[in-house]
Amino acid sequence: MRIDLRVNGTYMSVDVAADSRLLDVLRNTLGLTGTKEGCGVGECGACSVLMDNRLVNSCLVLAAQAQGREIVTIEGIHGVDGGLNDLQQAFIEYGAVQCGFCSPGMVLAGEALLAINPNPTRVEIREYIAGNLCRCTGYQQIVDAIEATAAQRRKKEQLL
Amino acid sequence: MIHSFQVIRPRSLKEALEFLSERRTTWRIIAGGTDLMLFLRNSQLNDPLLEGLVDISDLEELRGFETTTTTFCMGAMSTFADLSLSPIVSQEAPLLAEMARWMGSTQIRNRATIGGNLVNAATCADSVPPLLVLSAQVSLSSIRGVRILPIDEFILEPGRTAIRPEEILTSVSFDRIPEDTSWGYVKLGRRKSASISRVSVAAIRFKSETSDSAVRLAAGAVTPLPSRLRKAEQSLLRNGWTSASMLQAATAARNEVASIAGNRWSSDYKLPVLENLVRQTLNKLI
Repeated sequence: MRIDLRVNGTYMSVDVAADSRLLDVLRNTLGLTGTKEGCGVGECGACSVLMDNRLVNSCLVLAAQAQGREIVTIEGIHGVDGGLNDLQQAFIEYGAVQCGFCSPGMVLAGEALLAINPNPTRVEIREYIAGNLCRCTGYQQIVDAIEATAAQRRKKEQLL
Repeated sequence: MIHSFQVIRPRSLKEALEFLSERRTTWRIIAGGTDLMLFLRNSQLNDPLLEGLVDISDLEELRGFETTTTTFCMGAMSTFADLSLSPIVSQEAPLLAEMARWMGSTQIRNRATIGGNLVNAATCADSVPPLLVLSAQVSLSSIRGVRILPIDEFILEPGRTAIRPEEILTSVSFDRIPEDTSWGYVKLGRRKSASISRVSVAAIRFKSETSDSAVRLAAGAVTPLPSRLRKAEQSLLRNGWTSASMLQAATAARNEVASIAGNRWSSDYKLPVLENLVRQTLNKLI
């Protein structure tokens, strides 16, 4: 079946199997392999993307349900020059990336959180990213990176 | 997966119901998909001849909250995120908002719907205990009209409800709770978050009422079918709200669950835990 959707700002029209998942469309049809399949059952969050600004597990979204929607994957998160944005930089600086497998989902979760809550407490961060599992870091550094980026963005807002 | 599988997206509830009325045995409904996608993956869907899915996730008629002077009504497509974040739900059903906060994860809550949670009817379904104590009803629509069933008549056994194949659960509603109401909700899982309920307790007390339904208590994930714990409720109504009587009620709840559920591998753990959680929850109702 044909679905039309917007991915990272670009309109796409793709032919997909009716029983395929959004995850399959992103990785296999569109070659956007930044989104990972960690479990395929909606528990690890490695497949997280933004769909109409909401953080979702793309392994649980039927491709057909993405019709007409706006999808943002990790490939769509970057600085104005196309390099890393502030959150991604913070992930590196704070040691929040080890193997990197959870990182795309974690960054998207961080972005989704900061979009609705620019001043989250550490508890709020942990609760928000609870659907993103990391086997390497122990989460502390990830929380640090998100918290620090939030503070930096608020500071920038004040200076503007 | 299955060949010639299709997905259709009706543009209105009427269109969806018309489609289902003709193809009720070979098509299933998909809403948020957080349960169904797993069944699809594991080929666990009951109908071996599944031709396709009817995607109702875009139907506006199934969204939103409506308040009348007596009733609060939620569209079946309300997600758990909607329930946990909506100021209206916090006001009209704080019990539901609290339950929704602890269900799944951010990602799951953004997709999982209350309708889907009910139709899936898992023993551990998070929304059921709060809806039981709210004496909620579900609306089931087909091209022939609407049926309304109380929650406890809707869920028949784990995984099976009274919904007919040509029906769609369109809304969930309950009588608005009076001002003078206290409530409590607790969920215990293997983790603090992103975890399935092992034991949950929902309770509500209408302080200015003296009738039999002035206090309502339900436990989740401890009995095959969710139900109100009437013996514990009656114990409270008889003996009042002292710490002794709340302890008594908690024990009554434990015994009631034990007699319904029988002896299970989890009983040694769940029964004393349930007793404690009931006692803790009742303390919030004083």
